[in-house]
Amino acid sequence: MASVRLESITKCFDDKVALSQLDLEIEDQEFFVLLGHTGAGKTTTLRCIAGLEKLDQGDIYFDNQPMTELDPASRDVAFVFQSHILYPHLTAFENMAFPLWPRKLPEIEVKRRVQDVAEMLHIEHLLWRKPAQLSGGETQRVGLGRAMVRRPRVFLMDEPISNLDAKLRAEMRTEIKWRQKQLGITTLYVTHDQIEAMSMADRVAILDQGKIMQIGTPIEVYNQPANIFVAGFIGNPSMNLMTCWLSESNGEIYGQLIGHLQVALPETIARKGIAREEVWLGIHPENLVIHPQEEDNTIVVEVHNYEALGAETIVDVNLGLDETDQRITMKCRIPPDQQVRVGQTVWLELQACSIFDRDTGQAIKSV
Amino acid sequence: MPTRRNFSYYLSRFSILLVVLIYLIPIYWIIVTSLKYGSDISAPFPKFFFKITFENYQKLFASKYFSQLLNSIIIGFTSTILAVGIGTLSAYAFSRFKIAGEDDLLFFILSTRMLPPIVVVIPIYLMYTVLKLRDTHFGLILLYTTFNLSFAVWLMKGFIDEIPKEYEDAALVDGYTRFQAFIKVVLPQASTGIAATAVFCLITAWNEFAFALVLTEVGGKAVTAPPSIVSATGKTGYDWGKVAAGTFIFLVPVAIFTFLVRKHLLRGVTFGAIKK
Repeated sequence: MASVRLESITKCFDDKVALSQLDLEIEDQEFFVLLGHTGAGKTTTLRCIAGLEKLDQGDIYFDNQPMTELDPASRDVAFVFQSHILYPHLTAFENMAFPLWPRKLPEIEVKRRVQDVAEMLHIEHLLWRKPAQLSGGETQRVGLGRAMVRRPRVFLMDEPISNLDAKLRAEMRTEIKWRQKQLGITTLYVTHDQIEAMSMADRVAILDQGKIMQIGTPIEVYNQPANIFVAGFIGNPSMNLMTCWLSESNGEIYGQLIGHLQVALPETIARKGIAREEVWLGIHPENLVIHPQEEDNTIVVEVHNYEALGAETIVDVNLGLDETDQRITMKCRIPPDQQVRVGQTVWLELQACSIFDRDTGQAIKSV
Repeated sequence: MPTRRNFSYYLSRFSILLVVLIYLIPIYWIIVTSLKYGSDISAPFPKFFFKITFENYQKLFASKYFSQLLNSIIIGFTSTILAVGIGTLSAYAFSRFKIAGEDDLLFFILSTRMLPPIVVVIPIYLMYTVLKLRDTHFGLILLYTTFNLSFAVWLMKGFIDEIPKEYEDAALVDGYTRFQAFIKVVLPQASTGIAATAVFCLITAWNEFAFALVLTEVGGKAVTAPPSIVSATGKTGYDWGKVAAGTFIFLVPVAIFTFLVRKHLLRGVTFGAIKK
């Protein structure tokens, strides 16, 4: 168990910058998720922490002990890879014992520890099988067990469940999170799946092109995205983002969307952006309410499409065409009992929103 | 579901049988010739029914043939072990590390195979004379290792490239040194490739004739089997019975070795053609 601190680490591959000046602090026993698209630098970060990649700049500390110069074997971390988790020429038992062998433990102790972990993960009956005879979920369990037998200071997991099917993935999410809390081992978990990040993380860092976009609890990054990248990434569906011109009349601030659509913006938010005139408007789908008749502060739109998902319905509404003749749509999340038809004219009410600087994409927090 | 045995099934079986027969005829011929009397061998029409004799084998036992076969075994297997060992290590380095001028080096290694070895027979003869390596086991081992090395490096690089890096990374993180990871993780998974490479190297070294002839002296201490078989001339031309007996015994060690590694070999030679 250890806290992990990265101090402005930089890593380049040839001329490509994979990580630039990355700072990160992970607390002891924390479940920390690195979230980002492919190529954002998540895996590189993990490999740097494990010592599999040499840093070009910066330092890594576990519990304030410098790790930067240590080889992977001396760092006492366990790495769970996305694929090729188990050695095909060894049985499940040997795979799990593999990290214990270099530690020169007595045979009986190795056996005991593997048995303990196997019992915990309910894989005792699989121990004498070769990886080729294990299903995807079983492989993942054994792989997890492999990491657990050693009781390392830090778990590093690189998309450990992204190769599984959806149902198994959901099961393993719960399982991994629960085990982590039970063992209390600091965990860095890499994923490109924002649902995994939201459901498992104590805190999450969103990465893009080797830079951190935002760090916070899942709720924080959902409710207060720091920039339009995070806003467009988090949530399913994610925030609706569109250009908005602000204007003030009769003491009220209006946001003008495409054409002549005007929406009244919540006072506190709009005040922050008024000096800028043009901003990005970000609205979570659940903050849009669809009314069948005209009401105060609503805009008229047309239902373009809808997906009845059972627990909720996602409605695409058509706002019209912008100056380049692109159709502008928004996604709204409505209760499943509310009926809509494709092509129906409805009135949209905006209940909450965020605004972002038009040029930098950063959230506008104060005037 | 029961297998449907249709026409194409029988056709393919028949074709396989035919090909195997064609390949086995020379071996059959060698075996029967080695068991015939000289008069039966030189009969104008091949005799399919003849009196079996072990005379030819007795003649072999009386000659130096078995010590020369032992030379073949020592030289062939040692050079194979060296070529495969060094080849695997360098292939690993090429596969896993950034090496300055990697492509040029690999091409250079390959280029040593680009001319027929016989071309360099005279320079090597002269070099070996100066270095006093002629007619020594070490000289031939060195030569065959060199010949096979380029082949071993290229073939093994292909096999090692196929082994995911994650396996070693995991071992490194788990507390193994790189060399331990190589031994514990890479070697077991490269066993197929190693077996295939070893068979090819062994066959090359085993069958090598030109250098073995030129670089050894008749009746010398490092003469291998191939030049020895050829020198089995009797008073009236070739003693074909002795040649056949020598050839048959010569085939046995490689056949045994190939048989032992056959499981690996099948995957090894189809490597690349079939995705796992």
